[in-house]
Amino acid sequence: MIRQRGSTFVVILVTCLIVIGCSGLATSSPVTIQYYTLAWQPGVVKAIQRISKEWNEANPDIQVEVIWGSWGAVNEFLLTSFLGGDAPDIFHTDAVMCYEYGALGFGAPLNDYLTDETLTDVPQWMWDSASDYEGNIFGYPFLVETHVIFTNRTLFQEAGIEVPDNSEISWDQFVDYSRRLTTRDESGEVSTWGVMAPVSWEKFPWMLVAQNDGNIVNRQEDGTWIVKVDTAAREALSYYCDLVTRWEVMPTEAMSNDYTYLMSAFSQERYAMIVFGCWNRRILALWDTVDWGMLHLTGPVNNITSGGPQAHGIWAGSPHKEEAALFLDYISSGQNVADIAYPDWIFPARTSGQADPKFSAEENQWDLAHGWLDYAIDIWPTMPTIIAFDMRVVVPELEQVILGNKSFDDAMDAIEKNGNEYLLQIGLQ
Amino acid sequence: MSEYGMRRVGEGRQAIPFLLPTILIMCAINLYPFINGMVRSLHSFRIMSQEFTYTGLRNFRLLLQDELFWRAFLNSMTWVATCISAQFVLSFVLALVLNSRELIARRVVRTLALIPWAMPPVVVALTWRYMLADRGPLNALLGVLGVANPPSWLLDPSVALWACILVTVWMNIPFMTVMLLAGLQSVERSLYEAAAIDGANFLQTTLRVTLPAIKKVALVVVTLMSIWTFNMFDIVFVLTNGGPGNASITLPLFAYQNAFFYYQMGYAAAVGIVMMACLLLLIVFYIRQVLE
Repeated sequence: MIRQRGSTFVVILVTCLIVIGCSGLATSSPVTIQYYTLAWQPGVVKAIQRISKEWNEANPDIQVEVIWGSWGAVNEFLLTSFLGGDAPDIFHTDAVMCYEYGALGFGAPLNDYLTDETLTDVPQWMWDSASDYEGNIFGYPFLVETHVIFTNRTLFQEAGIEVPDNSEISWDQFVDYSRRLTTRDESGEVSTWGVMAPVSWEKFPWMLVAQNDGNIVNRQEDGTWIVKVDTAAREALSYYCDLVTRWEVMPTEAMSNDYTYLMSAFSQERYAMIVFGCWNRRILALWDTVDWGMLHLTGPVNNITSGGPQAHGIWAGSPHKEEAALFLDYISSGQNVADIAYPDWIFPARTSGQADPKFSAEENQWDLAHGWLDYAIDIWPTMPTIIAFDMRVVVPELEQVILGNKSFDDAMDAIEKNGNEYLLQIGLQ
Repeated sequence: MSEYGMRRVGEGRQAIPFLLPTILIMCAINLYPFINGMVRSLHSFRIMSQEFTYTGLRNFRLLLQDELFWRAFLNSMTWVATCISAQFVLSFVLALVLNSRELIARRVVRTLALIPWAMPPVVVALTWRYMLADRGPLNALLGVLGVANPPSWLLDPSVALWACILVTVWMNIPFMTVMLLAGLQSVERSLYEAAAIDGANFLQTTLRVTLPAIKKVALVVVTLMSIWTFNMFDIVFVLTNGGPGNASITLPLFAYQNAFFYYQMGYAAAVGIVMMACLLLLIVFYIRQVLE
């Protein structure tokens, strides 16, 4: 009897040891990291699939699970995921949003995971747009573009417009071209508008402000922010509104315009010029409905363009930050990032990646878009919530001016008043 | 207490353990978010410190001073009142037609009338965004009919909200029609025969016989539709996103924007509480109708 009890005890003990052993094995089982990507163009999706597959084969201990997101819902998805405590380990968004999420405590500082080689290979302005004022880097930039004016060359020819050899034009030339390109039918209705630059996306008004060295939000020494639309910014925003109200070369559609409509209208010669990121060459080349060209707008003070860098961030709550950083380095460098950038018709953030000759080819004007990268900066001021600020405060006021419901000066005063109230409410003052 | 009363109390006690799981689930799903929302509406979210600071009724005071809130509130009221009135009138007419025995291919027509209801609201909104575009099919049709300057449905601030209302009415008519049709079919034919013998014309029969007979169904469906329409988000979100110049913003969209874009979660919760207060009136009315 005692022997039987003894053997039962041994069986239980062995079972317990096996269970404990198995659980021990479980802790050393592969780590799975979730990678939230906004890739959507077919070639980019393929590249991401290839890269993650190859990574998973080469790194059985760190498995990557790709979560496919969309630019249209990225903010809602990430914000709710962060607040719910169940966010992907790696997330892809604009560099300025990486900074914002970092400033809010959702993004982890990446400084410890970045090598000197990486830091020097990516231009400093891109790191700046993803960093706070204490030097914490919250985003690893991996893609960059240039903001250009797409032109309908047939309409330019018909209007007798000859563009400069370097394809760079001034603000005055831009208005002059737009006026010459705006045509009306016999009843006086506009049949072709000179230009379309939507007010609430593609951030054209902010690019104009940056080109005139203007400021709308200003950081104080104590780290708080105030809204003060300076003279240069007022000139820039006035220039934008004048396209609709004074020169009548841009329709009020600038207030509500989606991508599909914008592109179809450009194809149907409703707009002679549209302001957009250079990635849009892919769609224009694919559709092949317009003989298109590109121009770069040079501001009165400087000739910068909106680089709009895209970056990867790591969730502050991720238990696998180191593993995530290893994957980030893998996807953001060498052939991998080139394979992502090229089918996206934009450029790798790394200078070494841009050296690939295909990014400077004459075909589809890669060379022009690449050349203008020298002028690229992130035109958003590095203030947390800057995009929310734009949507909440700036855009509605510009819309009121465009509609003729408010004078420009009143709108600028309202931006300052409402903007400061908003910053106070969310704790930036 | 009588023996019957004692037995009922006893049965009630016995039911508690069986009802408890459901009560707990309901509390977790409904009560917790409600209380959480109430509490958050009394706090301000300081984004940099990630703290909810107790501010009492400050969010509500700010709401009262917020011009955009009042615009959203007014738009929501216009939206509900117009949508429901238009839906009721049109649905009632359609239900009368569908109820008519003279209607040829009645079943086919009834099925066709239900199509808008079968489509998801986002798909409806996307389709209508194409239809209402400046150079879309609707304006093309108006052009053919000789309208020189058809409106910019989604771009003109004075028209944008009405365009959203038009789409919502189109989408919601089938549901209301089906409900009213069910009511019409339950009206006894002898009432119409009596009215006919008394010499009542169509209008008199409709006003004196049909409407009173379906009053209960109509009240319930109007109340339900008012609640759903007040809360509706997707149509405005897809069609205009509240624009242009916030001309078509409604309360649900205003709350969404504050919560998910402007980081004003306490403020958005306060908007939610105001919305709930508005809905409470409708809900009380609805429950009274149902209980009657």
